[in-house]
Amino acid sequence: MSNIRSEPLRGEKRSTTPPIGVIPPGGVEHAFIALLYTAVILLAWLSVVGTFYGMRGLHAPLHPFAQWAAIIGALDIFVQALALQVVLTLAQWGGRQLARNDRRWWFLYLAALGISVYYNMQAYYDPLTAILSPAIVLLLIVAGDILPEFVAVKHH
Amino acid sequence: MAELFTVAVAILILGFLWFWVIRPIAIDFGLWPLSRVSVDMRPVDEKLPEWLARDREAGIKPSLPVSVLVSSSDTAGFDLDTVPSDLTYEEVVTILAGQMTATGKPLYSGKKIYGLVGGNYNEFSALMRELRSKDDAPAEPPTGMTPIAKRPTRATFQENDPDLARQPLP
Repeated sequence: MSNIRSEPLRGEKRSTTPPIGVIPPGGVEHAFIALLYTAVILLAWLSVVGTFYGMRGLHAPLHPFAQWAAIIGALDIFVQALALQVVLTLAQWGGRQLARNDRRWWFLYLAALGISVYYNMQAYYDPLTAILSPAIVLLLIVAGDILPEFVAVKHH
Repeated sequence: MAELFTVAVAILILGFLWFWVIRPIAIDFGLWPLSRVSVDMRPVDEKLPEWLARDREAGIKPSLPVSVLVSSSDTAGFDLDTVPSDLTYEEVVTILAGQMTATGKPLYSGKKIYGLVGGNYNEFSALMRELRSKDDAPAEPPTGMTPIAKRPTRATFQENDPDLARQPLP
């Protein structure tokens, strides 16, 4: 399959006005996409950490160093949380793809999303409501579990 | 000011949740009327060359992929495939002719392509499921679509349809 690039039907005549700006548009686009992917990685990490604490009914400290110290101290539990989050992510993302042919797969999608949101709520709701409103915290936790799929999986 | 910011963030997140999660599920389960879905139906043999040429002349790469409506093997159904929208008509037909099943058989052998639509895949797949579920689904394509099988590619579309075999190639 070959792609045909659109080419404007302008002549070879050069513009006489000096260019404005120093940053190429493509560079801005690439930088923004890199930012999106960084956000996805960060959200995925937060989901794993949320599961790590939520599995045990604990609140997650908002300071990264405190989180890291807890992870080092309970590495086996962290590995379990990581494995569980991988399974939940695959179930969630896979459920959506399969729902294109059979709408019953949406139940798997919602179940996986619900479990992940539940653990993240256990971990982050109380710490975050100290600085944000409860409604925003709730929406952020749900969106944080959904946004990685929106960015990472190709879609139209 | 803080309240305004909170409301703005809430609207943004709720909007995202609506379009990415709630609406697709609602459409698939018939809770959101399909009549509200915006689908641009273009009879491919009439509009596609003109549409693609217009966008190319303007220097525009079409942003939406194009969904191609293909009749399935049974008379009551349709299949849907997706091709990039920056292709010529011949390239679209060639791509569809080259689609294979997991076992290597031509996917669209002997089938007819009825039209090209832009839009959300989930929305259109829900529309197709609705068409398939109707007991009185027509064997002919829905009104407004034009079959383009009269211009097939040699390898696949002529395989099972003797009428197509007699058509001149593009």
